[in-house]
Amino acid sequence: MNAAFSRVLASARADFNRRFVEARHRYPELTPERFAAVLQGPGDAIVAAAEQAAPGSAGAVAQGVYDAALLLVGQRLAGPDARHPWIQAAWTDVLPRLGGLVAAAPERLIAALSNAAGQVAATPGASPERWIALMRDLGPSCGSVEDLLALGQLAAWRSGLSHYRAGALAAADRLPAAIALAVVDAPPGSDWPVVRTDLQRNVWHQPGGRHEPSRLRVAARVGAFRGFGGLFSQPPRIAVAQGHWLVLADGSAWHLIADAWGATLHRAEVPKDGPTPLPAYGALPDGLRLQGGVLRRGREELDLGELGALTSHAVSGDGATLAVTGDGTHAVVLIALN
Amino acid sequence: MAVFSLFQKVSQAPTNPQPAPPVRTFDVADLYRGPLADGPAAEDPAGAAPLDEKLRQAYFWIVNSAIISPHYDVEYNEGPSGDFTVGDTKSRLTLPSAQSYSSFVLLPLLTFATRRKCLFIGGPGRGKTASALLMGVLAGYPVREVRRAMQHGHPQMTIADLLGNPLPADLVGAQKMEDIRIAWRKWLGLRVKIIDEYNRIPTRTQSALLTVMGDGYAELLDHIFECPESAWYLTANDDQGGGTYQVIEALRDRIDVIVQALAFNPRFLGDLLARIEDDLRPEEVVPRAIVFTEAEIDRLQTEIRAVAFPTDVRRRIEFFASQFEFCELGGAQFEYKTKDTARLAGTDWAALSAQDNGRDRLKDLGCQTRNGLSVRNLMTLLIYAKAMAYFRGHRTVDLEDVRQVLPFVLHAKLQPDLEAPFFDAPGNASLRQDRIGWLRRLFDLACTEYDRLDLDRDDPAGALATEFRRGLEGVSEPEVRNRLARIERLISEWARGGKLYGHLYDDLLQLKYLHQRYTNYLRWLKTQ
Repeated sequence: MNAAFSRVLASARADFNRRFVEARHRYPELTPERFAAVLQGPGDAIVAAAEQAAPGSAGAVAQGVYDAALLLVGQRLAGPDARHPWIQAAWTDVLPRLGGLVAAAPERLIAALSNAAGQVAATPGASPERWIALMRDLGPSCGSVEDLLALGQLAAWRSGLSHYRAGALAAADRLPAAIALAVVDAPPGSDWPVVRTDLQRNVWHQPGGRHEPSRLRVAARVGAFRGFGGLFSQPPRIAVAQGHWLVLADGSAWHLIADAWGATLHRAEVPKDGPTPLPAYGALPDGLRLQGGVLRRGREELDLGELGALTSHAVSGDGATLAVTGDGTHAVVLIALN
Repeated sequence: MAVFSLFQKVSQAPTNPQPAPPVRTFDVADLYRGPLADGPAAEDPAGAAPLDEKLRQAYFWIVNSAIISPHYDVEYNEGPSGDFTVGDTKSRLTLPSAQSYSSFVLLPLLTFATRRKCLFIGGPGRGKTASALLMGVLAGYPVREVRRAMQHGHPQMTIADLLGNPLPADLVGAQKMEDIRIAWRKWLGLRVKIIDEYNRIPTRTQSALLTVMGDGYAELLDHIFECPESAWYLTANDDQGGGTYQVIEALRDRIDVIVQALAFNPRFLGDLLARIEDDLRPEEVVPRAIVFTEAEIDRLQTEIRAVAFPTDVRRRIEFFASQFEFCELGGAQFEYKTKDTARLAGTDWAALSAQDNGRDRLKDLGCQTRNGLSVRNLMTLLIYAKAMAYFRGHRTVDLEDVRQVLPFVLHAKLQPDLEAPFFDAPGNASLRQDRIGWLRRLFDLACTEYDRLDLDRDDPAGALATEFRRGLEGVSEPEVRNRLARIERLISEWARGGKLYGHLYDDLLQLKYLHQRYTNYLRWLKTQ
């Protein structure tokens, strides 16, 4: 353990010990060994990096590290047998690289990055690995705590938290353009306002992807059978409530949000009077036809046979996506229309 | 100095989550919410929370951090609950399917929010005084101040001990009463008042206490001290007259709710041991986030009063309350056929009830009690039902809110007739001792009877009252005659039915009232 951290711990030994006792009172699984592993490992690295970047900051950073470690280890969110590795990864791979920023706002940053890593990890289909990588690689380029937090929000959206799309785009506007462009994989030489407009206009746009002419294609499959870790115990159906998608299954409802980087389902109240899912072969937007399990638009065809007998469909509010369900799958299939 | 304390941690809002709306909005700032509070600004997570949320956070802090073994006896269900029968006597154990509460914490907290009066009863050493102390701390007073302001009842307690003393110098030199200054006791000015072991206070001092409790002022040597509106907490080891002095009835009647400190479950001894070893005193570490300012408590009261009381729920309370006062042999004139008439006359209750052989005494709920409900009891029931709904985050009272608070409000108010056939019926013997269980059963039985009579849909007396409440403006003479005829017809119909029960008695009195109002109006119409 580095000398600065040791000095802080020794200077208020009784108080630190009392806090450990309090924490163990609430979290019986908090053992000295598991706690020490976090404190002496990533905790030590965070304090050392902050002290190196801003001499004299070790005291405040050590306090933040100590208290956060108590809560995280106590709840098995960090430590040798943590429920998932991603908060620990934020402590190991990200926070020690942000010495100056952590020194400026230790409690705030330790809490924010730990909570964000936990939230990305808890979102089915999201990629905490990508979020950690983006924060690790781009975090040190941020000049302020606010920039770093905006980066975290943009990176979370990029890693699959599609429900934060609008807020993340707004956060990106506050970032240096180079960082924002790097997060969204824009090709070198791109202009952020142009990229942003494209992202805003088309939920399926990927700045780093190949630019193909508009064509019918399955953009995403959302949801799975409960037995395989999904949410639905029977094939769901799709409906629209107040201009948004609502997935209905087993008497429950979920709000579905999807774009090029992810799709998330959020528990919602089952509406008392509707909405009623539209039958699969009901009215479709102009130019689209569904015949015998094949979706047609002009000469384009998309075979939806994998869904079994189609049961419902709904078009997104912006007209960019058709969601379809069938009795042969527990997923909602999202078809990009542009 | 610790950045935070685990004992300072309050439950994250929402503490009583409701189903999410069909369409939600998402704030990217929520990305940084999670198990760790993000810095000093978030140390007070309840700071901006609505007050009902703050009240729930206070509740959950007390049950999670201060009380070691809470009993969940205020049960709510969403869908079917898990019911088990255990033992030879088929004791029923219920596993509620919705958020349920511990009356020992909840009722004092509702008392705090409504500034009413709560009595803790139970054997010594069960946390009655400690809980009262916590309520003082929730009101923002330092622990030491609350401790010092607590009044401990004892047989030598004088009015001066309770209220204060005249200044000795003034007492000697004063020419008239108003010259005598009074050193009022500090507790009179607090917004949370605690009287420990109130049944040990001598009767004369109890009368002085009654003035403070009932009327909100203290009087000494013609001087008046106006007390601020307060929540009151009283404790007693025994509420059945086992204290040093018999508590005067008027004082008992001022108490709004009674909660019993239930037994400690030895399964939680480990927690008790940890608390001793860690030297933790919950009242000393109450989080600032759950401390209420005076303005907040004022606002709590306003918001609780604004909770809506649906007519169908109110009707159930009316029906329940109408069961008890009626006593067919209590008086000769119709209006005086009440238990109170018999009580005022000093009639022997056993002899009176023995004469009452015309009705099914098992079925008639009125036969289970020796008295009826007062206006004060009903007002208290209404306000606590609203507080209960508010606490649960609702803005409308539902029947279950009434059902849950009713036993605690009527605990010492509705006196059971333990000789009634109901208590001899199989399975009911334990209700002789369990006042809470009996009152809840009584309300359930009243609701069952209400449903059987289909009063939600078929309530002719209610319909006539509703018609009257629309006003007499512009009602013609033929219409008044028609209404009078309908009232008389209904009374004749009921008269043919035979047996008279409490709810019918009250309906008949209401019909008489309507008849009288129409008669007077008719008389006036004729002069126009």
